[in-house]
Amino acid sequence: MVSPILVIALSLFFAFVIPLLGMLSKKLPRWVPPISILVNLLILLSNMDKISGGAMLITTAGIKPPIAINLAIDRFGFLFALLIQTVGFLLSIYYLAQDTKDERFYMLFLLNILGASGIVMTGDLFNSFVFLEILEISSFGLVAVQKDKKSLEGAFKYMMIGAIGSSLYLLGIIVLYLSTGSLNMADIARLMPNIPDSIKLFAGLLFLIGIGVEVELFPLNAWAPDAYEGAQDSISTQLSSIISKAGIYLAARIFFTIFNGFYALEVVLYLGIITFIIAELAALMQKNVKRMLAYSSIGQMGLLLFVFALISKRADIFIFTTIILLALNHAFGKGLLFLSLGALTGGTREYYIDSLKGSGKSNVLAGLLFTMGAFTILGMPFFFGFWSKISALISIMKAGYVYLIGLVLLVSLFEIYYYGRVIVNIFSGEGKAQKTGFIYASIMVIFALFIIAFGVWPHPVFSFAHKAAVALFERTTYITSIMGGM
Amino acid sequence: MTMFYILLVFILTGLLTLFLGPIKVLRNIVALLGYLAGSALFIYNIKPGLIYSLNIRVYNIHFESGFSTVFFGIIILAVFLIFLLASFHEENDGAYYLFAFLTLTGAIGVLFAKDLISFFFLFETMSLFSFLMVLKGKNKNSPKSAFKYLVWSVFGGYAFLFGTFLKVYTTHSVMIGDISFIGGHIKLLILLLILTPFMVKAALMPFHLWAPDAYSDSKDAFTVFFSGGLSKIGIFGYFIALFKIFTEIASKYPWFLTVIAWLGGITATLAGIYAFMQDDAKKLLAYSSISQLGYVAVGFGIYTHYSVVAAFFHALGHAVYESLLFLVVAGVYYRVKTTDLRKMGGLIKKMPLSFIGLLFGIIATSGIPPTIGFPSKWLLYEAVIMKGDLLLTSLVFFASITAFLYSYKLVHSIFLGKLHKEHRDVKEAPLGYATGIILLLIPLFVLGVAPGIAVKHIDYIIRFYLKPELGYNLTTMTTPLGHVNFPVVGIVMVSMFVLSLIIYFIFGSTYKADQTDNYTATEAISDDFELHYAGEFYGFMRKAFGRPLKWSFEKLLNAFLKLFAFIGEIARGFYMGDARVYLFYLVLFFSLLAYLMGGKL
Repeated sequence: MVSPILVIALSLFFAFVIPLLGMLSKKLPRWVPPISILVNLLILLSNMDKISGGAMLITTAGIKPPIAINLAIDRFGFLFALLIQTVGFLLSIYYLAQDTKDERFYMLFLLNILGASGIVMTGDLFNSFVFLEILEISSFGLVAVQKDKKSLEGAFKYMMIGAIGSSLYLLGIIVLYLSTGSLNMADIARLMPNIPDSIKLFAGLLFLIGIGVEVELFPLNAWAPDAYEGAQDSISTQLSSIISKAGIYLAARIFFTIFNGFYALEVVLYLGIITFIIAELAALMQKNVKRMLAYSSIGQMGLLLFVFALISKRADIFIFTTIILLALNHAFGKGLLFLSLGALTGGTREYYIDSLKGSGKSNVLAGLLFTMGAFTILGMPFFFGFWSKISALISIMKAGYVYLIGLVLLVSLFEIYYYGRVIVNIFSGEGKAQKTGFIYASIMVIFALFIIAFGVWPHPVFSFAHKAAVALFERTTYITSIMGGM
Repeated sequence: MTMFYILLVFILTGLLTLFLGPIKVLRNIVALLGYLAGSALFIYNIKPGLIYSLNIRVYNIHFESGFSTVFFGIIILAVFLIFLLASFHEENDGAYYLFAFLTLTGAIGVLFAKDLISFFFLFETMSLFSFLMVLKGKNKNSPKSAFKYLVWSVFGGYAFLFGTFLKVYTTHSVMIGDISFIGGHIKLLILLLILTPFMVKAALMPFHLWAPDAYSDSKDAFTVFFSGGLSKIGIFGYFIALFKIFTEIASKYPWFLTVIAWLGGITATLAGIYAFMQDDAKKLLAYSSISQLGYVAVGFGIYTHYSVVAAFFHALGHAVYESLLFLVVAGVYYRVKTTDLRKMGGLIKKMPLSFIGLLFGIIATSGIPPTIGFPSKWLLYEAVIMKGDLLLTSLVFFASITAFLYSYKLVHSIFLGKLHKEHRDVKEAPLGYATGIILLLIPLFVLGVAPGIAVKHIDYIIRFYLKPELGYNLTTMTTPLGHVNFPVVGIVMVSMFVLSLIIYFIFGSTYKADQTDNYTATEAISDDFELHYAGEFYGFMRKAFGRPLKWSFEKLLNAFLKLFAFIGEIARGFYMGDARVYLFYLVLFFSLLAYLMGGKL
């Protein structure tokens, strides 16, 4: 067993080594992220059986919480860390084949992964803010890396909203610190009943906005379509598969573990479904496929948050299992969609539906993979999305909103419409012949394999997700495992 | 367990053919062997009353087999064989068979499903892979038609899913089971939702809009299975919804059944009219198929023992003759590379077997003895008359006139008249098609003369739900209106035909002309001049019916789509601002929330 704190320490070290290596050789830096992330993955996996019910506590400086910074990894956080590192690893392999002149790109990329992993592993509220900042600031850089008008515009908008969001998040931390005198998540959660409602409400609101920006909650998601559209395809993948997933983790940790489903969760309930509907409606007539995927991404996140907030209506582990399934499906499905869309355009960055005509015929693999990605997002049978969608509907039913299922399905019909239109378009007519590089293709195939393998046999993912959901659900176990007996 | 294995065999066959990609012969053989293995398992092992369940953690899959499983299973498997035989001659690749076999898996699996979630899973599998099958279709319109098909079938699927959840919520059971005890009118909503995908699959108006395009733009061999096999899932669904899920529909909501019967009647008539106005053989057959499935809905809507027997038998007949007709057209297309009726003609001498197939196919479609089309129509007419709804009766009778009209157009345009110059070297359709035609002609006659074979089985399916009123044995049927002996009717019919043939040969004045010998009023014309009357066939009918038919449901739907598009544009406008606007959203949102939530304290 190796201490998971190395995941953060090594990533930081490697990230700062990159510019130095860049002075030696232009080729060298691109090898750093895959090696670093692989090491991280191995470290995480070596801790796999250490983490059982409750959280695994890693203290710094040998001081017990609530004093000093510590990592607290429970199964829920572990699953997200694994997801982030896995997707990050695949993307880092992809970047090996990419022709980027600026080595700082790799540094930003590694810092981004680091920030996301830090968020899902830390047990300290202020520390989570630091990681959130690392994540956001590196994301702005990554979005802007194309340096054309669109990507700069997207990055600027993302930065404006993101910066205000995270400062409000910090304000929330300050409020909680004032009233509890602690920064440790478990400690604050323990002291939560003592805080007056008005303070809870104010802090909850601040957190809601801070996290809402990250998880693309309406109306804080206006930056998202621009950022997704402007970023290069792999960065869009990263935005939807890693960055928003870290946000989901944070939302669950703060609104459920700390606030124990206080008011804010009810607000999320309504905002989630509104986000879902508005984003899907916006996608309906969108002719720019990448922007369409961005709207779809927002929509999926809205559904996810809606399902998550159902916990305020009915406490059920199944709801948490569902959000994990939805998150996994969205991470892999949307990731695949962005990557294969990039392959279909052949790197021309022309995403209009008309210019994609026939591209699925000239690049069959990418066309098929795009179709698979769409099918899993649509929840078609034999794809992983089927199970997550059914689970989502079951959760909605369990919470007693059975008529909303009709609404969700009606809105899903829009999804069928706009995805179907793209699929049909890429398979009709004749397109320019183009090829996808071997590495690029194999990365996409791995994404697709996940979707199909667990679509055919969802059992392993279900048990894994269920355990993670139990870890999140039993918040007292989490608190006692960190703070000791109460 | 066998039920699970059957599905597995089909899936594995599909995957195997995918990996045998490049070698066509091997691929065909594997597809045939896999099919044979699966169907042998089905025929020898699937008896009514088998139960199987499998826990996949998410929920339990429940399978069950009943009489309806066996009945529809055999139909679907038989039609799939015809499809396989025909597809040996068509352009196919590994993915083609993969999609086809997965479609089959879905279709057979639906028959096994005992709980609604499994049902939905398999139903969606079928829809999804048949969509891919259409997408791979034969011409440049295929993707568009496939899209239409996808949206419609997913619409149906989602309606079903919503219905499922409403049912689970109210009855706490996910099994296919009775809902008629639920209080209030929610049960009607559940029934309607659960019925929707089947009305879509069986192309009942107004859910038929996808069908003509999807049928005519999919590969010819697949259309055989699409129309002959997959539409049966729709009929199976009528049965599930009206008998197993809402057992007391006749006493609780009789008007709902009347609506279904009327929709069926309207479908039969309107689709019949649309059919004879088509100039494309496959489009014509597509509408004919829709029209025939309308009769089935009429049978279910009347909801008496003999009307439902008629409906089931008609579904069986539809599988036989509609497959036969699509198969013949596929064979003709294989030789002459067109399905445009205006570009064919006089193929009777070149393709005699196809001609015979088509001839008996249309005879059966029109419901003339001694073919399979007769018993069901006879029973259905009696059922409509007994119900006493005169308007519906006349509608159904009128619909059968349209069947004569489009049938004649089909046989005339393809096989009769003047042979086209470029078709002089056309040969008979190849072995696969010919075998299929012969295989389909057997049940066409056997079941026409001895319908008791099938009626007995159908009776087993429904006798649990409806009071048995129909008397029958192997070759006869007795209803309150009278008694019919099918071999006798057949013999009378054939002898009348022979008699008129004799009269024709003795008294008719004939002039034996060559196929290219034509009267041209002293005008010297070249040999390739088009003289075959096929263009404005039934032009006068178009003048009579064309105007009222221009109003279409599709336009209404497009208006709806425009509305959604408009709302979508408004929603999109939210995301079109610049950073300042977005910041304003944030601030506004914060103040609003603070105000609203502050009020709660």
